[in-house]
Amino acid sequence: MFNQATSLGGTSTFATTPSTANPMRDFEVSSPPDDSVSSLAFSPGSIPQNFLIAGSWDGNVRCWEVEQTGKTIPKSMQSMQGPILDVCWSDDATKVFMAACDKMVKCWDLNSNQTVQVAAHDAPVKTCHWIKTPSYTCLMTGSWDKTLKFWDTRTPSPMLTINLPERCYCADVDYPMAVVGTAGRGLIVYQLEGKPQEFKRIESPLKYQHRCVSIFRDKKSSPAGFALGSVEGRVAIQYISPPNPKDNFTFKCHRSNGTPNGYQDIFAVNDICFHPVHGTLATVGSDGRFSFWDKDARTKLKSSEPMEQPITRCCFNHNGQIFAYSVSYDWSKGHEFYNQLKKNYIFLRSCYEELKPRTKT
Amino acid sequence: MDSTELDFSKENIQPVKEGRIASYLSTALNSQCHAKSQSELLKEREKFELALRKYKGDDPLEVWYNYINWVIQAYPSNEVADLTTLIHKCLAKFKDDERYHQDVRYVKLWIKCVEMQRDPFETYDMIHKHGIGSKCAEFYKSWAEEYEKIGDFKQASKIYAKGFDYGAQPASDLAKAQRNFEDRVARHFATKPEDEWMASNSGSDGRRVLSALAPVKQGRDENVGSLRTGAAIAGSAGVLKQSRGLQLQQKPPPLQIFTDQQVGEARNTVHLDKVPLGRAHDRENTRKPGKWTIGGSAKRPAPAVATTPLASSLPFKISEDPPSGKGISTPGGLCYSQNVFKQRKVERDDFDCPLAIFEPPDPTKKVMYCKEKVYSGGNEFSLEEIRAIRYFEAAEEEKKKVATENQENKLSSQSDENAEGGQSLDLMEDLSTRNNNFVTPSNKGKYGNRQEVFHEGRPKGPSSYHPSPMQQFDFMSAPSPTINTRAANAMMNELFSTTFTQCLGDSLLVMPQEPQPSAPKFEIPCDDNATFPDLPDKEEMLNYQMPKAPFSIHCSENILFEQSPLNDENNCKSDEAEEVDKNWGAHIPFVPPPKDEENFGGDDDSSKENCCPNDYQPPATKEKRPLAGILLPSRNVPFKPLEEEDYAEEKEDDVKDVNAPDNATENNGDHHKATSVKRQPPSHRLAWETSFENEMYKCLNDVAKSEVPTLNKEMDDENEVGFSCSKSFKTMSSSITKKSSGGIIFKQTSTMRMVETEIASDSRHGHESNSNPLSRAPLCSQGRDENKPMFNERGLWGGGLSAQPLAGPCETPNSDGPETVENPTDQSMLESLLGKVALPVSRSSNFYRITQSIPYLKTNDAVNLRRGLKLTIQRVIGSTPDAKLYLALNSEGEPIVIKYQHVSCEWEFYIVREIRSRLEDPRMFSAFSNILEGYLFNADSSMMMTKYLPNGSFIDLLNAYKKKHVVFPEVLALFFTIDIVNSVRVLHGCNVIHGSIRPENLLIGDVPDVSKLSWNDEQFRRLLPVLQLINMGKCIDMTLFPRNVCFKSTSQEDQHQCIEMQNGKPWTYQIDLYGIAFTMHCMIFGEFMDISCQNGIWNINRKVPSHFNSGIWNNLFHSLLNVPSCDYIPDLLSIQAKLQEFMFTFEVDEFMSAIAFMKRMLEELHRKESNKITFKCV
Repeated sequence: MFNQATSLGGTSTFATTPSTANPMRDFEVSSPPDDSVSSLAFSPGSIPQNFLIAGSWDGNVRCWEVEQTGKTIPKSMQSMQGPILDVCWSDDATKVFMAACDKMVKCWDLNSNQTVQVAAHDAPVKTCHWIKTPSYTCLMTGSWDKTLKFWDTRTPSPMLTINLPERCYCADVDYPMAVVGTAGRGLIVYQLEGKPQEFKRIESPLKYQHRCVSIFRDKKSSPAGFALGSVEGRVAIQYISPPNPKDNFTFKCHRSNGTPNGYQDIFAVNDICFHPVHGTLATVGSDGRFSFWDKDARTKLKSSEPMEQPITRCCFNHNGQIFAYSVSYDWSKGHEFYNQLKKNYIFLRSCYEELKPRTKT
Repeated sequence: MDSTELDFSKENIQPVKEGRIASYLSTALNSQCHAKSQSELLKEREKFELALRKYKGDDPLEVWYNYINWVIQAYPSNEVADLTTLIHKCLAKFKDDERYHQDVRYVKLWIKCVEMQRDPFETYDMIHKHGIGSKCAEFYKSWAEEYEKIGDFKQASKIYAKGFDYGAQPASDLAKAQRNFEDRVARHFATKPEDEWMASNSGSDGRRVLSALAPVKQGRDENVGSLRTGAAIAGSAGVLKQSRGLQLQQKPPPLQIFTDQQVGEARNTVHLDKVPLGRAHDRENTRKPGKWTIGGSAKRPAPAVATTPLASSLPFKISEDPPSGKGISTPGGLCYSQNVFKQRKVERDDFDCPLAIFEPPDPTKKVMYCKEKVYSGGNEFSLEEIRAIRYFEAAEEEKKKVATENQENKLSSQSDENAEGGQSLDLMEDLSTRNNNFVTPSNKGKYGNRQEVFHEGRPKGPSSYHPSPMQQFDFMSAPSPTINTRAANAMMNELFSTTFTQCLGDSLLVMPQEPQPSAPKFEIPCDDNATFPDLPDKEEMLNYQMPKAPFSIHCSENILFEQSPLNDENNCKSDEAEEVDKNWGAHIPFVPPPKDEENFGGDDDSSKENCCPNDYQPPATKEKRPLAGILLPSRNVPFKPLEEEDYAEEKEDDVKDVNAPDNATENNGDHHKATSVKRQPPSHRLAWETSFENEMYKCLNDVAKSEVPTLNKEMDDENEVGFSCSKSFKTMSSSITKKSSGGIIFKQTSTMRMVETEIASDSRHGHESNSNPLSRAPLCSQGRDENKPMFNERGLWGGGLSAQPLAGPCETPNSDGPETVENPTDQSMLESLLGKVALPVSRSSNFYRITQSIPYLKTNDAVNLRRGLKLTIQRVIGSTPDAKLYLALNSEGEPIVIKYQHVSCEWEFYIVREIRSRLEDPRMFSAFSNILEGYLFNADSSMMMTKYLPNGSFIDLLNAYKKKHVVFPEVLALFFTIDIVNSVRVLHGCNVIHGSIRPENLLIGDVPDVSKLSWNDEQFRRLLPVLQLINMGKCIDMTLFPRNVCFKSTSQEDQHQCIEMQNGKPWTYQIDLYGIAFTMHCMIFGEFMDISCQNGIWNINRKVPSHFNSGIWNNLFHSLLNVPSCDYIPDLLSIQAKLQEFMFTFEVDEFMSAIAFMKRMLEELHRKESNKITFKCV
């Protein structure tokens, strides 16, 4: 079903979910996490099936198999001793790495269903990324202890530790490029060829805290720049070496437009994902909406109805057929607004058509 | 704290009314220079920041107040902490909070804030109108003092009166203050008539330099303060007394502007939304001192007092010096306290950007995230961090709760136990599990059920929820103290008398210790399979997983994952993968016979690198082979030997071709026989062995040679087995025996022609012959030292070989002959070498081949070499016979050097890339030029981009010294010699010869910060490297040549030939040693080196100056210039160590001042000639 370009793939299979919770009538992932979803990732294209993993603040990482029909089958679960902050897959889809508040990263071998610690920091680990290069493979972890570390997963000490100016808030990797956003609006691009090293620091195009970053590729499908999301409703498109300085731009998003009270509400951008085929992007925000954008045409392709709660993370599967997004509280209004009784959701959407760049049609 | 320390930096300490705490002050001052104390401060600060967000009680001001007071104490200069922002934030936060309006702490903060204002009266007035502090005695006191300071006693007394009107509390305090005030006024008028006092007072206060210059003013300010004691002298928090003085004389226009703004702002803010910031004040202090003269208010500050050690050692005017950045010189730079701090600050590599760019509040917009939490205090937190704070708090609480619960339990169990001792065991066990509850996540119970659902219908395997080791802890197996009631009692007592954490640690017997997740050691606390992925036996794992794993499809890849380093190499050759596939089938039959394995087992240490790792178990039996066949990507692995085999055959042909017409001797015939024997079973062993033999006999066989160590070390297990087992041991040993007898003779018959043939064939097989340079690098670095082990190996491999044949090659290691190569940097030679390179230059992502002719570069032109790279040419900064250097700016305005030349840059590009990949220590990266991008145009023209180093080339610096007639200080010459020796040593370690080390090929990188330097290895090592070796076009990559190669250059018109070149002797690394000597000579004498030979000993013609330590330098020249032969290259490491030892005999201060002086020279150079860096002819 994901491969067919069905228009809004509404089904009545999930009658249990009230329509307010699923305004877009997307496929709901069964047995969702019990606490906020902190991370989502689809299995890489090295295997034919689609597996979805989600890390949660309840300290668990869950794995589902997503069938073509949109049905999800819970496969397995692993837990760590603290809230999960990030998850990622190994390139061969046999392993999942889980970064958590317990200052560790564990490797979950899906074959044996066992976990083993592969990385450690002095503070909660905010990001983890698997790097596969011709000359080495390693795990990159960014932490609030202001370091970026590279791990050969078989040895207990890091291959390389890079000090960051501030705490790592977000990172993305697309060989040979890695970009890290830190507190204090730090933005550092690393080049991973040979030995990972700082390539350059970029003055932040945003005025407020960095929240999410995602690397995009150019027409030749080599990484060309990144999109950076801010805590205050704005996304910046930044090229590493822009062909034209005007290619860098920022745009507003996840803001309410003209509510009756006269205010424009500005929400945090929680995640950005680029479509693996079309190169268009999706953003999700604290306003509970997801939006699809075409950065080249600088247009919005689609915006969703608001969910009951913020959307914390999103991701595309490897061939760009499925868009997954998680609806749960992102702490954007502090603990006072945290309602444990509210159910968390992960929805799957057949998105291939919706994300086609408009210029092509 | 140290009083001298205080003396040196007291200008940097802002006085505080309540005084400063010495311990804080000491750390704070230290933190300017020591990263450690700085990080301590930062940590402390983070704690406060955390507390701000964590606070849940009903007195949020408390945290703020403590924080701000701490900042005042910890950052005496008020510079780093941005105190004003903090105070401002705090005041703004509580400005509408009624309960704090009369709170002394809050009022005190306001007073602090006001003290930072230029015009305190307006602000006091405003605050008072707002009702803040109107019932607070403290407020009126400081308000009145403000008036008193300017001598307006009338107003001051009115303020006191106002205080009483409003009923300020505590009234007694206010009354006392008022009495004191009246006393002071009375005394003042009693002792001095007003004008007399004015006259005597003006300029009497030594510290108030500026106030002395104030013109006498009309109006309110006519009376300058009554008493210069107490608060007036001490100044108030965060404010230098100066500022008051400034206010008195509002003549200089720039100041007036600030004042006006400030006043206006204060006046308009009836609503306290804008807590007035002390910005104007700050701005003033950060202004460059030069501008004061514009205002006409002050003379230039007196020239820096010549206490700097610089003055003693160098004949330079100090007066023009910018602050040197050394603590000792601060007394001279009183007026520049801000600058002093900037210089002394520990270098932090962060971008200096504001936390956030706060926009003015927009009524039409409303942020929907908890901004006040995110941006509370002086730091920012992400939403996740805020949540994590909460989480950790909860976890902590949970822990405590469990702890108390446990204790309660214990108590009850204790009483139970006393009643019926038999049950105690159970209870204790219960206790231990209970303890574990908080070890595992608290939600565990919650998810227990779900867990089951997840695992339903699956065969029982290792479940995803592993019981923690503690839960499995067999309590019974440990002797339980509870068996003994008395012991138990004692323990209970202890439990109650200590905190919970303590008892966790103390009574290990009762409770297994909680695993420390943060422990740096990788002790895997939770999982049974606490091993790293590579440990488990692969075969076993595979079998184990296959039947039950839910992801069975990928299990083959699982192994691939573990072998990833292996694949790297093959990836380089992915284009040939297909071929491998073809050959794969044919390859299978060469399954290693098991006896090979035995052979491997028999190897001893000396040939360790040639055999499998200890823990490796080769898939020796046929049954296991197909299993390995599942590993799709690892199919590539045997490919390499296979290639090699093909190649080896061809090479053998070459050898034959060469030898045949030579009327081979009997021994040669033998050799042929040997090779033919080997050729019959085409196998990996063949290739390996051939190469090995050749190595042994010192035949020129670079390819095979380079393969040997490569394969041995880096190829992974399977490979090793594949190729080692493919030939039976018998054949091998027999062939060795045959060949060994003819070894020496064969060596002699080898001719130069062979060499050339070899090289030619090499270039044909270029990409096979060299594997990934990256992985090869460390192997090659062993260089010629490997000779010995090689021979030992041979002995081993040869089995029963006698030692005699070994001796031959060993004894004549330095005999040249077949290894000689002429003109290694010859263009055609380089081209052929480039053909051998594993990863062709053209495949580098930053190398571009452009099929156009090279563009003409003109100043101010913009060049667009590729998409996204637009360079604006600035100017020519140097030229060499075949290259021109341009300075250009890229689109971000960063300077970039373009090397524009009409020869190909391929070689230089290659060598730079190689060096970078071979360097093990990333700190050394900056010692060698890095090519950002390389462009090759038609007709071999090329451009290369490198980073621009503003300090220019080393020769410019030396010239500058010369021009000033200043001798380059010995300590500096020594330092740079060490630097160069170090870099060259590292370069040689990468098996690269630079070939033209000269001052013009050295750029000056960042001059290190030497303040607070002391002589020890660690600190010294951190200084290096300063110089950067550039111009790598003459480099020689030794790994592309046979191990014992020597070079012979003919007819080099270059005057900088090394001695060996001049005499037509073979050379290798000597050329760089000569280069070092040459550079040293330039430093010491300020001119190029001139050498001559006396009694067979080469020496420089000039005498080392008498104030230099001539012994050391002469020795150094001697050993660098008189290298006995290619095989006795002096050990640079020991030279470096010796030099360093010598370096440490100098005073650190001398070095520091020399560096500081050099810095100034550089700045001067930089300034003067607008960077006309001339690169002399190469």
